[in-house]
Amino acid sequence: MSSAWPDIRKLPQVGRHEVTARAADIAAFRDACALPLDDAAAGVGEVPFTYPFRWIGLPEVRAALRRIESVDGGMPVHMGQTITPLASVVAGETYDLDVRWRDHRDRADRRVTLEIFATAHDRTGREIVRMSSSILIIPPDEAIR
Amino acid sequence: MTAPFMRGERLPGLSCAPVTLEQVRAYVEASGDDNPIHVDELAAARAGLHGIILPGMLIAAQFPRLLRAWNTSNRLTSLDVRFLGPLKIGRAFRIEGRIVAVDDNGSRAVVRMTVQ
Repeated sequence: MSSAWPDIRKLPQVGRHEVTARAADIAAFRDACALPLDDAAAGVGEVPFTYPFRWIGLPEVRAALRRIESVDGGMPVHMGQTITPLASVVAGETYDLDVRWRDHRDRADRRVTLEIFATAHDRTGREIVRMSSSILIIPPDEAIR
Repeated sequence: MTAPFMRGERLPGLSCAPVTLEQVRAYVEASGDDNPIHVDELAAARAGLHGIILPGMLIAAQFPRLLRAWNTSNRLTSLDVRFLGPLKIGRAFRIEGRIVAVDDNGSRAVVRMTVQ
């Protein structure tokens, strides 16, 4: 995955989703990561640094992503992730999540690497966070049955 | 004012206790990372893995702890993670860090962290 942030407006859109940083979800995420509150604060405010990754895991986003993955019917394996906050995620606030994608196909071994790019903006249009995920798709016939 | 960052400086490591399947399930629930290779032996085997592996982002969530333990004034501004190999469930792991680049006035640094 390139560390340079591409002009994602040119990429196919997975979808736009309204996401809310609910305090209960943030607390559950922090607890599940075994992060004390003061450690979580090493990220952005009281929200764990990697919390925005949760938005990519929301059912509506996952469903849209599966439609891409299902083209190959393969098994996804998370290979890399970037997260760059540009402003604080605020508990209780709702954001507009724009998810885009592109893929790289290796004809030699038939594997596909899917790159997912997500940006979240607040109600004023200010960009809050940029994330990219690199996901290797293992072809169905390569998975061990 | 904190001391400037120094290229090559090593951070104190952070030892993390083994993560249980119950903890992984809680993380899967909280994060939405529903890839079955993190909770299902059969799915992990189908992916060619020898056992259930931890979600990479559960490990990455610990990185700010290392920076914080080193100096409480440290603030992470960007994260770029590569998952180079699986970490099996139930194994303790340790995070090490080293400064690999520093800006001109030593106030911002790139830290390379490794998990073993």
